[in-house]
Amino acid sequence: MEGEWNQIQLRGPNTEGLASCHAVTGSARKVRDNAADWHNLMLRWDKLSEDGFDVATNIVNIKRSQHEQLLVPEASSSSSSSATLQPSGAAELQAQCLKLLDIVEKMTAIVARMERLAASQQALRELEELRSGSAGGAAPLFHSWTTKQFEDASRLMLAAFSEELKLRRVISQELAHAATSDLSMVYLSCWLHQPCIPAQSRITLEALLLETGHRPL
Amino acid sequence: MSDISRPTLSALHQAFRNSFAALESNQRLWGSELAECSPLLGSLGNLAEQMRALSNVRVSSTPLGTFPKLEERLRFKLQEAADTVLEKLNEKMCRLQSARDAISNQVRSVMQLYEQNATSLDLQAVTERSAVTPSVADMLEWLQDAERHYRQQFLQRKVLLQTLRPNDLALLESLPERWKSLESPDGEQRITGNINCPKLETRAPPTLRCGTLVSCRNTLQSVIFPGAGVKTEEQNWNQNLLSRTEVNDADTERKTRDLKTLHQIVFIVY
Repeated sequence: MEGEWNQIQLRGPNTEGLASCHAVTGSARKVRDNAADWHNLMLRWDKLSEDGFDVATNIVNIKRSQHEQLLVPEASSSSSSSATLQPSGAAELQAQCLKLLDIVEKMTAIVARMERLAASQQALRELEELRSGSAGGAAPLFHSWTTKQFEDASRLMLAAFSEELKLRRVISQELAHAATSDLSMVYLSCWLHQPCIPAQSRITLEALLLETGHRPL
Repeated sequence: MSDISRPTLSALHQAFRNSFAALESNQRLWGSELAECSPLLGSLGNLAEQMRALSNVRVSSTPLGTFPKLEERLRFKLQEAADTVLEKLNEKMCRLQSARDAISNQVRSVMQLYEQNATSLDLQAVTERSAVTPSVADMLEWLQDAERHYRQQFLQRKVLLQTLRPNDLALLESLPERWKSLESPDGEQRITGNINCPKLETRAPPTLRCGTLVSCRNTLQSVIFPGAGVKTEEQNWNQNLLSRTEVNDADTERKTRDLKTLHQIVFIVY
């Protein structure tokens, strides 16, 4: 598992260069690993988000076809066909909803890991402050950031993902109950475009990766 | 044919060869770039649909109402996504423009060559066609038709994209259809020559004078022009054609229709 989290360290082009010019031990080592974890967690999040979007689209389509089936027999006043078609559609809908809930559960696990990372950054800041005796730690660990800045970056990303997770919970619970197609569409586009995760959080991640040397400067 | 026209003609023919080759490669480039545009247009239309749905829903009265400023944030994200697509589309437009420019430049250089030598070419040399070589006038006309087609296509599409406004949802929604309506398969066919012409055997002159291409005559002539040519109508065209160098639209329309058969041959011969 740990190897998977740290996969970014293995494939960064200048990892070796950085390892040789910086003594990556202690706090710096920990911050660097955390940055890689942030990156990998976000990748996993994106993958789950993509899978979830497919499932959510399925749910909306099943709902729509059920709705049409309900309308057609009413018009032709033959209710027998709807009675036979309904259960299979309902079972499928149920299955897709469970899938979506499962994905949201996985996303919850990711956010829980992000929380641990943020807590770890806070602890690192406190440790460095204690060691140096000054606020925010003494010398920068890498190029220019203090431990305080690493902590702030983690907090910012955590806040965005926590809120997005809440939004996803609501969507996963309400999607199958959306009354109008417009509302379904809004749910879907919320899922797809992740409105609670601003572009800034991705930029912060890039900054973090640059600072820790995972990305070449 | 006078002796003076012969070297000029062969220079012109060489220029035509280059131009048609360039036209063909740019036509392919144009086609592939244009094909890559349609998925982009599709996603723009889809984004417009999402924006429309968002406008129709009162987010505050839905379960999403608990999230502060969700509507604004989602709208921002949607517009950001639309921006990204437009940016890609703009890149495509730049490539289309370069294809159009390449065609225009080719055609302009051939026209220039013709105009420089127009005095040394007599009427017969310019209008004479054979089984394997279309007349200089024909080929100039085809090139100009092609140039005009791509110029218009490009401008229409560019204007369409430039009329887009971020708050004009209806226009964005109708964009894919409008884009599609600009397609002109007819115009494209005239240039590629991928058509079957039923009038093939009723027309075209049997004479052949252009020495460089004589070798093709025997094979092509028997296949393409089995019947005797109808000469009178054609001579009229030639008279018309030479009365001015600039070709007007309605006229060309008619003439290209009749001449498109020969178009195919140009690709074969060159």
